[in-house]
Amino acid sequence: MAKKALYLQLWEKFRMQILAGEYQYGEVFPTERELEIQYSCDRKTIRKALNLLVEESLLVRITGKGTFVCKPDIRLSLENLKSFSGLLRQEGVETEKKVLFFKKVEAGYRVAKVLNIKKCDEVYKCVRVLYDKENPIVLETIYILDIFPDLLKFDLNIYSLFEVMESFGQFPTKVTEDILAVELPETEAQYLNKETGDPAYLISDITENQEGKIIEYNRAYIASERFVLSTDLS
Amino acid sequence: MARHNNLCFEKALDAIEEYIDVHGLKENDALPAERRLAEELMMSRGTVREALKALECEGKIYKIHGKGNFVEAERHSVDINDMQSFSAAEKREGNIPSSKVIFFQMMKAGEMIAEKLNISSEDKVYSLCRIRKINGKPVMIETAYLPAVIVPGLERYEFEEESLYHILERDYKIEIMNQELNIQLSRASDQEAARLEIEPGDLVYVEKAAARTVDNRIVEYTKSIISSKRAKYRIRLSRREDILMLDELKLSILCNEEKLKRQEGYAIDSIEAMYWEHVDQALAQVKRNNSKICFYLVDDVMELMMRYISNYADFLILNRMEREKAKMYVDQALERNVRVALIVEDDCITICSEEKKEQICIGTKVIDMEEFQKKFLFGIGREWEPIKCVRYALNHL
Repeated sequence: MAKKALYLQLWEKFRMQILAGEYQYGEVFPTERELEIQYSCDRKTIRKALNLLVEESLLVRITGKGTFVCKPDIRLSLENLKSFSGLLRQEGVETEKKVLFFKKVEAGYRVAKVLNIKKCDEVYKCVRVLYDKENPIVLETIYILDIFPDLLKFDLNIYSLFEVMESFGQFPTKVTEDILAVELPETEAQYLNKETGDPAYLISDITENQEGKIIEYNRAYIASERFVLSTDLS
Repeated sequence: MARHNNLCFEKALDAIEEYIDVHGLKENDALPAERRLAEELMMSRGTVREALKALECEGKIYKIHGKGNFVEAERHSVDINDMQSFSAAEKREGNIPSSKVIFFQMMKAGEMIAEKLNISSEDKVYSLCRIRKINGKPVMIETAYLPAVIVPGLERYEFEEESLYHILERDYKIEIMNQELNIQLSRASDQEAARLEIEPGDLVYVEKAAARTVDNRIVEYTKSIISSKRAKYRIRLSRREDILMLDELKLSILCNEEKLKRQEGYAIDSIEAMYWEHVDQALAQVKRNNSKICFYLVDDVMELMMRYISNYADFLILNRMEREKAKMYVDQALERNVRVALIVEDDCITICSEEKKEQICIGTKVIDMEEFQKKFLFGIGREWEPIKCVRYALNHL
């Protein structure tokens, strides 16, 4: 068999380096010039190899800024109706939860519209960050219908909300999930240890119980870089 | 920083969205100037400005410098559950889909595409690149690759007019059964931005999909660059869950006792008498909701739990317990309302039911254990799923 073209060899080499995690997400990839010298070949060859990586979305070129590594390392499956911590556990990521806010508040216009209640009705509001080791990865704001007596007593630093709801005989049965790409607003960026304007998924879940009643509305910001969302549909 | 505590800000967000709805503002309609809006909403200008910024981040409004804020068009929902073709799905929504072919050619697969399609890099593929539009606005650039050997003669079709999936089904008798989808975010390159009529650097979804037929052949690999400004994904998930799986963790939730934190290891045997009353109430409530209850327990707490099992359990799972003991508990439980009991051991699960008492004989192969374990112990995901187990048992007894 003929020897593989040089650019293909380089492609495979760079690819392995990235997949093996030699570069962190968001790290600057060496420039064409640097690679040209390192591998003593012409720039065209380097560019061809890099093009393949860009096409694969392992690298991204940003005009005027350079080439960056963008290999995500957490797969978020969209198939199972589970809480974020449940989905992450399934991928072997054990998260720590930290509740920032948990109180009864007035629903307000937007939340009331989603939960089918009046503006002035009260709901439980919980703001929570999920950490993978030291790194904040999910910032969720959860609005819960006021049908769970003494919900505030539950320590949501520990419990999954779905588990608590089930204990009350309310089973999260149907979820309608919207996934949007957004640039992180300032406050959300701070919580997630990111820069304002960094890309993120804004995932909003509307949860119905077994009787088709909407019981929960969850808006979660997830800094997108480490995540690939995936699903396998039949 | 503490925005969740910042009621003014939240109120401003609410007020602006309510303003848009009440005044029936549609896409590209202008919002009042910041100062007037603040006056109208009776809020400080600073708060309103911050709220407007947040709405801009979410893509609800957009800003033109020197002109003000405008309502952004609703994003089209790309329905993940819907495996119909792009054009069929959009038509159903009452939109007008159209496509512009950028290129359509036969070429050598090359290393990367070959890997995705599971063919050799010298094999020929058709590659079809189209800009998909909805109501005249470009939403995505879609490049599809199909092995030429599967779809010979594909070049005779006109893809601005016809749907690829439709042709595959009608003329090639290829029915797509399964689609594997990956989504990531990226920023539009200059060329992508020009084609999508957005700015370079704007956020885009990068979607990669592999479509398979019934016999598990990959017939198509597609890479799409989708404008995040014009599209969002929607997915509907459901599960038929009316069995409350009551393990020690949930029992401690029911007891609602703050002392029962992680450091104490959810020791339900240390729960004080007064909290058991609460468990009774809670379980009675669950039963009133017509939900089933499955106890999922270890040996240490069985004595303590027997009363609750008798009163409330529909199903019982005994986890890693001495066989003789387990058998005794199961016998007791089946005399009551328990319909199915599972005894879980390291290498086997035994299913016992009221209807078929003889199967209580532990160690008997009640069902195909290999299939059972494959499905529930090492199957999808890394967790073993007791609820699935119970359902399976119910269906097979």
